[in-house]
Amino acid sequence: MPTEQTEDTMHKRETIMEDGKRKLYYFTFGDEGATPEPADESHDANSAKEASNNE
Amino acid sequence: MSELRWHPLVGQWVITATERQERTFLPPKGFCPLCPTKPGEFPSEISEADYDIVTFENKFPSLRPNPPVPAIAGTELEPVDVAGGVCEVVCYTPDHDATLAEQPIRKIQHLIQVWTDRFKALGDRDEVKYVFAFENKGKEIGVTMFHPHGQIYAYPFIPPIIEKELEQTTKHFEKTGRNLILDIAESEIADGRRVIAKNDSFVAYIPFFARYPYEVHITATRPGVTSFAEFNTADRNNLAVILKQIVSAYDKLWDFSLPYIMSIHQRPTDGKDYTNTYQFHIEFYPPYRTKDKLKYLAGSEAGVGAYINDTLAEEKAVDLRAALAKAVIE
Repeated sequence: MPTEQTEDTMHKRETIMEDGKRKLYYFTFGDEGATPEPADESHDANSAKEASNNE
Repeated sequence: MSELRWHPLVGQWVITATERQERTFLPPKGFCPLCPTKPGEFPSEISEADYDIVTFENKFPSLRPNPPVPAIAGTELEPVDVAGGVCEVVCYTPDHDATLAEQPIRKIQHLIQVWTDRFKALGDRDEVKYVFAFENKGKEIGVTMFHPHGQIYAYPFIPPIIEKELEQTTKHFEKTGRNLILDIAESEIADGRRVIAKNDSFVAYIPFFARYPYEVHITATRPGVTSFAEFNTADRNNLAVILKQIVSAYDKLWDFSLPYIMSIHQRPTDGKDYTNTYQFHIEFYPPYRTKDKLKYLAGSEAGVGAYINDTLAEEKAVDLRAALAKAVIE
Protein backbone atom coordinates (compact mmCIF):
# COMPACT_ATOMS: atom_id res chain seq x y z
CA MET A 1 0.00 0.00 0.00
CA PRO A 2 1.57 3.35 -1.04
CA THR A 3 1.87 5.89 1.74
CA GLU A 4 2.32 9.62 1.77
CA GLN A 5 5.89 10.22 2.99
CA THR A 6 5.24 13.49 4.79
CA GLU A 7 4.20 14.32 8.32
CA ASP A 8 2.93 17.25 10.33
CA THR A 9 5.24 19.25 12.58
CA MET A 10 4.75 18.31 16.22
CA HIS A 11 4.49 20.98 18.90
CA LYS A 12 4.88 20.16 22.59
CA ARG A 13 3.81 22.26 25.56
CA GLU A 14 4.75 21.25 29.11
CA THR A 15 2.48 22.12 32.02
CA ILE A 16 2.25 21.19 35.69
CA MET A 17 -0.94 19.49 36.76
CA GLU A 18 -3.39 20.68 39.43
CA ASP A 19 -1.54 18.81 42.20
CA GLY A 20 1.50 21.02 41.53
CA LYS A 21 3.75 18.01 41.07
CA ARG A 22 3.05 15.98 37.98
CA LYS A 23 3.99 16.99 34.43
CA LEU A 24 1.52 17.02 31.57
CA TYR A 25 2.38 17.56 27.90
CA TYR A 26 -0.02 18.83 25.26
CA PHE A 27 0.96 17.73 21.75
CA THR A 28 -0.46 19.54 18.72
CA PHE A 29 0.31 19.07 15.05
CA GLY A 30 0.64 21.31 12.04
CA ASP A 31 2.09 24.77 11.58
CA GLU A 32 0.05 26.36 14.37
CA GLY A 33 0.71 25.80 18.08
CA ALA A 34 3.24 26.19 20.81
CA THR A 35 7.01 26.23 20.52
CA PRO A 36 7.89 23.51 18.01
CA GLU A 37 10.09 20.62 18.99
CA PRO A 38 13.04 20.59 16.57
CA ALA A 39 12.96 17.67 14.17
CA ASP A 40 15.79 15.35 15.15
CA GLU A 41 16.20 12.31 12.95
CA SER A 42 19.58 11.44 14.41
CA HIS A 43 18.79 11.57 18.12
CA ASP A 44 19.86 8.50 20.00
CA ALA A 45 18.48 8.17 23.50
CA ASN A 46 21.55 6.15 24.32
CA SER A 47 24.06 8.71 23.06
CA ALA A 48 24.38 10.71 26.28
CA LYS A 49 24.57 7.57 28.34
CA GLU A 50 27.16 6.07 25.97
CA ALA A 51 29.25 9.21 26.37
CA SER A 52 28.85 8.95 30.12
CA ASN A 53 29.84 5.29 30.07
CA ASN A 54 32.98 6.15 28.12
CA GLU A 55 34.15 8.73 30.64
CA MET B 1 4.22 2.26 49.83
CA SER B 2 6.28 1.43 46.81
CA GLU B 3 9.51 -0.45 46.33
CA LEU B 4 11.25 -3.10 44.28
CA ARG B 5 11.43 -6.52 45.92
CA TRP B 6 13.81 -9.10 44.47
CA HIS B 7 12.37 -12.54 43.57
CA PRO B 8 15.46 -14.71 43.98
CA LEU B 9 13.88 -17.84 42.54
CA VAL B 10 13.26 -16.38 39.08
CA GLY B 11 15.83 -13.59 39.32
CA GLN B 12 13.62 -10.59 38.71
CA TRP B 13 12.24 -7.50 40.43
CA VAL B 14 8.64 -7.31 41.62
CA ILE B 15 7.23 -3.79 41.97
CA THR B 16 5.00 -3.16 44.97
CA ALA B 17 2.73 -0.12 44.64
CA THR B 18 0.02 -0.27 47.30
CA GLU B 19 -1.53 3.11 46.43
CA ARG B 20 -2.68 1.67 43.12
CA GLN B 21 -5.40 -0.22 45.02
CA GLU B 22 -7.15 3.17 45.24
CA ARG B 23 -6.93 4.02 41.53
CA THR B 24 -9.94 5.10 39.49
CA PHE B 25 -11.99 2.09 38.40
CA LEU B 26 -14.30 2.22 35.37
CA PRO B 27 -15.66 5.75 35.91
CA PRO B 28 -18.91 6.72 34.12
CA LYS B 29 -18.54 8.78 30.96
CA GLY B 30 -19.22 12.16 32.60
CA PHE B 31 -16.49 11.55 35.18
CA CYS B 32 -13.68 10.24 33.02
CA PRO B 33 -10.29 11.62 34.16
CA LEU B 34 -8.91 11.28 30.62
CA CYS B 35 -11.53 13.45 28.91
CA PRO B 36 -10.81 17.17 28.47
CA THR B 37 -12.33 19.41 31.16
CA LYS B 38 -15.39 21.15 29.73
CA PRO B 39 -16.41 24.48 31.35
CA GLY B 40 -18.64 23.87 34.38
CA GLU B 41 -18.20 20.10 34.22
CA PHE B 42 -16.19 17.48 36.11
CA PRO B 43 -12.52 18.54 36.36
CA SER B 44 -10.54 15.75 34.76
CA GLU B 45 -6.77 15.20 34.80
CA ILE B 46 -6.58 17.37 31.66
CA SER B 47 -7.51 20.94 32.52
CA GLU B 48 -8.03 22.27 28.99
CA ALA B 49 -11.29 21.99 27.07
CA ASP B 50 -9.78 20.13 24.12
CA TYR B 51 -6.58 18.43 23.01
CA ASP B 52 -5.00 16.46 20.18
CA ILE B 53 -2.79 14.06 22.16
CA VAL B 54 -1.80 14.40 25.81
CA THR B 55 0.68 12.57 28.00
CA PHE B 56 0.97 12.99 31.75
CA GLU B 57 2.47 11.33 34.80
CA ASN B 58 0.14 8.69 36.22
CA LYS B 59 -1.66 9.69 39.44
CA PHE B 60 -1.19 6.14 40.73
CA PRO B 61 2.29 5.23 39.48
CA SER B 62 4.18 2.00 39.98
CA LEU B 63 7.46 3.91 39.44
CA ARG B 64 8.17 7.50 40.47
CA PRO B 65 10.72 10.17 39.54
CA ASN B 66 11.28 10.83 43.26
CA PRO B 67 10.63 7.43 44.80
CA PRO B 68 10.13 6.96 48.54
CA VAL B 69 12.67 5.08 50.62
CA PRO B 70 11.49 1.44 50.80
CA ALA B 71 9.25 0.96 53.83
CA ILE B 72 10.74 -2.43 54.54
CA ALA B 73 14.36 -3.55 54.83
CA GLY B 74 15.64 -6.13 52.39
CA THR B 75 18.01 -8.97 53.13
CA GLU B 76 20.96 -10.46 51.29
CA LEU B 77 18.59 -13.18 50.04
CA GLU B 78 15.74 -10.83 49.18
CA PRO B 79 17.04 -7.30 48.59
CA VAL B 80 14.81 -4.27 48.07
CA ASP B 81 15.45 -1.12 46.06
CA VAL B 82 13.70 2.18 45.38
CA ALA B 83 10.99 2.09 42.69
CA GLY B 84 12.44 4.94 40.62
CA GLY B 85 11.29 5.69 37.10
CA VAL B 86 8.27 7.24 35.42
CA CYS B 87 4.77 6.04 34.56
CA GLU B 88 2.91 8.11 31.97
CA VAL B 89 -0.57 7.95 30.48
CA VAL B 90 -0.99 8.67 26.75
CA CYS B 91 -4.45 9.91 25.74
CA TYR B 92 -4.88 9.25 22.02
CA THR B 93 -7.92 11.45 21.47
CA PRO B 94 -10.39 13.58 23.45
CA ASP B 95 -13.22 11.34 22.14
CA HIS B 96 -14.16 9.10 25.07
CA ASP B 97 -15.87 6.47 22.93
CA ALA B 98 -13.23 6.11 20.20
CA THR B 99 -10.61 3.40 19.71
CA LEU B 100 -7.18 3.34 18.14
CA ALA B 101 -8.64 1.40 15.19
CA GLU B 102 -11.06 4.24 14.51
CA GLN B 103 -8.33 6.88 14.26
CA PRO B 104 -7.28 8.04 10.78
CA ILE B 105 -3.79 7.11 9.61
CA ARG B 106 -2.68 10.74 10.03
CA LYS B 107 -3.69 10.65 13.69
CA ILE B 108 -1.79 7.41 14.24
CA GLN B 109 1.26 9.09 12.67
CA HIS B 110 0.90 11.81 15.30
CA LEU B 111 0.75 9.19 18.04
CA ILE B 112 3.97 7.65 16.73
CA GLN B 113 5.61 11.09 16.87
CA VAL B 114 4.50 11.36 20.51
CA TRP B 115 5.76 7.87 21.36
CA THR B 116 9.10 8.87 19.81
CA ASP B 117 9.30 12.03 21.90
CA ARG B 118 8.57 10.11 25.10
CA PHE B 119 11.05 7.32 24.26
CA LYS B 120 13.82 9.89 23.80
CA ALA B 121 12.91 12.06 26.79
CA LEU B 122 12.39 9.23 29.26
CA GLY B 123 15.27 7.15 27.91
CA ASP B 124 17.61 10.09 28.50
CA ARG B 125 16.93 9.97 32.25
CA ASP B 126 19.88 8.51 34.15
CA GLU B 127 17.81 6.07 36.19
CA VAL B 128 15.84 4.73 33.23
CA LYS B 129 17.12 1.56 31.59
CA TYR B 130 14.04 0.64 29.58
CA VAL B 131 11.08 2.56 28.11
CA PHE B 132 8.00 0.44 27.49
CA ALA B 133 4.98 1.80 25.61
CA PHE B 134 1.88 -0.35 25.66
CA GLU B 135 -1.90 -0.38 25.46
CA ASN B 136 -4.28 -2.51 27.48
CA LYS B 137 -7.59 -2.51 25.61
CA GLY B 138 -10.86 -3.96 26.87
CA LYS B 139 -12.34 -5.08 30.15
CA GLU B 140 -11.16 -8.63 29.45
CA ILE B 141 -7.59 -7.31 29.73
CA GLY B 142 -8.39 -5.51 32.98
CA VAL B 143 -8.51 -1.88 31.90
CA THR B 144 -9.77 0.49 34.57
CA MET B 145 -10.69 3.30 32.15
CA PHE B 146 -12.34 2.87 28.75
CA HIS B 147 -11.17 6.21 27.31
CA PRO B 148 -8.74 5.34 24.46
CA HIS B 149 -5.28 5.53 25.94
CA GLY B 150 -1.97 3.78 26.30
CA GLN B 151 0.72 3.86 28.93
CA ILE B 152 4.47 4.26 29.10
CA TYR B 153 6.55 2.73 31.88
CA ALA B 154 10.16 3.91 32.18
CA TYR B 155 11.84 1.21 34.26
CA PRO B 156 15.07 1.39 36.30
CA PHE B 157 15.91 -2.10 35.05
CA ILE B 158 15.56 -4.14 31.86
CA PRO B 159 12.29 -6.11 32.20
CA PRO B 160 12.58 -9.93 32.21
CA ILE B 161 11.06 -10.67 28.80
CA ILE B 162 13.27 -8.09 27.10
CA GLU B 163 16.26 -9.47 29.00
CA LYS B 164 15.39 -12.97 27.75
CA GLU B 165 14.99 -11.69 24.18
CA LEU B 166 18.41 -10.03 24.39
CA GLU B 167 19.96 -13.23 25.71
CA GLN B 168 18.55 -15.12 22.72
CA THR B 169 19.41 -12.47 20.13
CA THR B 170 22.95 -12.16 21.47
CA LYS B 171 23.47 -15.94 21.28
CA HIS B 172 22.14 -15.93 17.71
CA PHE B 173 24.40 -13.06 16.70
CA GLU B 174 27.46 -14.74 18.22
CA LYS B 175 26.62 -17.97 16.40
CA THR B 176 25.59 -16.61 13.00
CA GLY B 177 26.57 -12.95 12.84
CA ARG B 178 22.94 -12.16 12.10
CA ASN B 179 20.05 -10.38 13.81
CA LEU B 180 17.56 -12.95 15.18
CA ILE B 181 14.51 -10.69 15.02
CA LEU B 182 15.23 -9.76 11.40
CA ASP B 183 15.87 -13.42 10.58
CA ILE B 184 12.44 -14.33 11.99
CA ALA B 185 10.77 -11.56 9.97
CA GLU B 186 12.59 -12.57 6.78
CA SER B 187 11.64 -16.20 7.36
CA GLU B 188 7.99 -15.21 7.74
CA ILE B 189 8.11 -13.13 4.55
CA ALA B 190 9.74 -16.00 2.63
CA ASP B 191 7.16 -18.49 3.87
CA GLY B 192 4.23 -16.13 3.48
CA ARG B 193 1.54 -18.29 5.06
CA ARG B 194 1.38 -16.31 8.30
CA VAL B 195 1.90 -12.80 6.86
CA ILE B 196 -1.04 -10.44 7.36
CA ALA B 197 0.34 -7.22 5.83
CA LYS B 198 3.59 -5.77 4.57
CA ASN B 199 4.98 -2.44 3.40
CA ASP B 200 8.39 -0.86 2.74
CA SER B 201 9.29 -0.60 6.45
CA PHE B 202 7.32 -3.29 8.32
CA VAL B 203 5.86 -6.76 8.09
CA ALA B 204 2.94 -8.00 10.24
CA TYR B 205 2.47 -11.71 10.85
CA ILE B 206 1.21 -14.31 13.26
CA PRO B 207 4.52 -15.87 14.27
CA PHE B 208 5.25 -19.55 13.68
CA PHE B 209 5.57 -19.87 17.48
CA ALA B 210 2.42 -17.86 18.38
CA ARG B 211 1.28 -18.35 21.98
CA TYR B 212 -2.14 -16.73 21.44
CA PRO B 213 -4.47 -17.66 18.52
CA TYR B 214 -4.43 -14.15 17.06
CA GLU B 215 -1.03 -12.97 18.31
CA VAL B 216 0.47 -10.59 15.74
CA HIS B 217 3.99 -9.24 15.54
CA ILE B 218 4.81 -6.12 13.52
CA THR B 219 8.56 -6.01 12.87
CA ALA B 220 10.66 -3.23 11.35
CA THR B 221 12.43 -4.67 8.31
CA ARG B 222 15.07 -1.95 7.84
CA PRO B 223 18.29 -3.06 9.60
CA GLY B 224 19.38 -0.86 12.48
CA VAL B 225 15.88 0.18 13.58
CA THR B 226 15.99 -0.81 17.24
CA SER B 227 13.66 1.88 18.60
CA PHE B 228 11.48 4.85 17.65
CA ALA B 229 14.67 6.94 17.77
CA GLU B 230 15.93 5.34 14.53
CA PHE B 231 12.68 5.89 12.61
CA ASN B 232 12.64 8.18 9.59
CA THR B 233 9.51 9.85 8.21
CA ALA B 234 8.73 6.90 5.93
CA ASP B 235 9.01 4.49 8.86
CA ARG B 236 6.56 6.54 10.93
CA ASN B 237 4.11 6.72 8.06
CA ASN B 238 4.45 3.03 7.25
CA LEU B 239 4.01 1.99 10.88
CA ALA B 240 0.84 4.10 11.07
CA VAL B 241 -0.57 2.26 8.05
CA ILE B 242 0.26 -1.24 9.23
CA LEU B 243 -0.91 -0.51 12.78
CA LYS B 244 -4.22 0.71 11.37
CA GLN B 245 -4.44 -2.45 9.27
CA ILE B 246 -3.90 -4.80 12.20
CA VAL B 247 -6.20 -3.15 14.74
CA SER B 248 -8.86 -2.73 12.04
CA ALA B 249 -8.55 -6.41 11.07
CA TYR B 250 -9.02 -7.33 14.72
CA ASP B 251 -12.27 -5.38 14.87
CA LYS B 252 -13.51 -6.95 11.62
CA LEU B 253 -12.70 -10.48 12.79
CA TRP B 254 -15.99 -10.93 14.64
CA ASP B 255 -17.47 -7.44 14.16
CA PHE B 256 -16.80 -6.24 17.68
CA SER B 257 -14.01 -4.13 19.10
CA LEU B 258 -11.44 -6.79 19.96
CA PRO B 259 -9.55 -6.41 23.25
CA TYR B 260 -5.79 -6.77 23.14
CA ILE B 261 -2.49 -5.99 24.80
CA MET B 262 -0.23 -4.00 22.48
CA SER B 263 3.37 -4.38 23.61
CA ILE B 264 6.01 -2.20 21.92
CA HIS B 265 9.45 -3.82 22.15
CA GLN B 266 12.46 -1.55 21.76
CA ARG B 267 16.09 -1.70 22.76
CA PRO B 268 17.05 -0.73 26.32
CA THR B 269 18.20 2.81 27.10
CA ASP B 270 21.12 1.77 29.28
CA GLY B 271 23.85 3.25 27.10
CA LYS B 272 24.84 0.02 25.34
CA ASP B 273 24.80 -0.58 21.59
CA TYR B 274 22.08 -2.98 20.45
CA THR B 275 22.30 -2.33 16.70
CA ASN B 276 23.26 -5.92 15.83
CA THR B 277 21.26 -7.70 18.48
CA TYR B 278 17.86 -6.06 18.57
CA GLN B 279 15.11 -4.85 16.25
CA PHE B 280 11.99 -2.77 16.87
CA HIS B 281 8.82 -4.81 16.92
CA ILE B 282 5.30 -4.68 18.33
CA GLU B 283 3.53 -7.71 19.77
CA PHE B 284 -0.27 -7.96 20.07
CA TYR B 285 -1.93 -10.44 22.42
CA PRO B 286 -5.71 -10.58 21.95
CA PRO B 287 -7.32 -12.72 24.67
CA TYR B 288 -10.03 -14.29 22.49
CA ARG B 289 -9.59 -17.75 20.92
CA THR B 290 -13.07 -17.80 19.35
CA LYS B 291 -15.84 -15.22 19.03
CA ASP B 292 -17.13 -16.02 22.53
CA LYS B 293 -14.31 -17.83 24.28
CA LEU B 294 -11.28 -16.43 26.05
CA LYS B 295 -7.82 -17.89 26.24
CA TYR B 296 -6.77 -17.78 29.89
CA LEU B 297 -3.21 -17.94 31.11
CA ALA B 298 -3.90 -20.88 33.42
CA GLY B 299 -1.86 -23.61 35.08
CA SER B 300 0.68 -24.39 32.40
CA GLU B 301 1.20 -20.78 31.31
CA ALA B 302 1.02 -19.00 34.69
CA GLY B 303 2.47 -21.84 36.73
CA VAL B 304 5.47 -22.88 34.69
CA GLY B 305 5.53 -20.55 31.68
CA ALA B 306 4.71 -23.25 29.11
CA TYR B 307 2.19 -21.85 26.62
CA ILE B 308 -0.40 -24.05 24.95
CA ASN B 309 -2.00 -22.68 21.78
CA ASP B 310 -5.17 -24.52 20.73
CA THR B 311 -4.89 -23.20 17.16
CA LEU B 312 -2.49 -23.14 14.24
CA ALA B 313 -0.94 -19.80 13.26
CA GLU B 314 -1.31 -20.66 9.54
CA GLU B 315 -5.10 -21.06 9.90
CA LYS B 316 -5.61 -17.97 12.06
CA ALA B 317 -3.60 -15.90 9.57
CA VAL B 318 -6.18 -16.81 6.91
CA ASP B 319 -8.92 -15.49 9.24
CA LEU B 320 -7.07 -12.24 9.88
CA ARG B 321 -6.28 -11.62 6.20
CA ALA B 322 -9.98 -12.10 5.39
CA ALA B 323 -10.89 -9.66 8.16
CA LEU B 324 -8.35 -7.13 6.86
CA ALA B 325 -9.89 -7.38 3.39
CA LYS B 326 -13.16 -6.09 4.89
CA ALA B 327 -11.54 -3.13 6.68
CA VAL B 328 -11.33 0.43 5.40
CA ILE B 329 -7.78 1.73 5.79
CA GLU B 330 -7.49 5.48 5.48
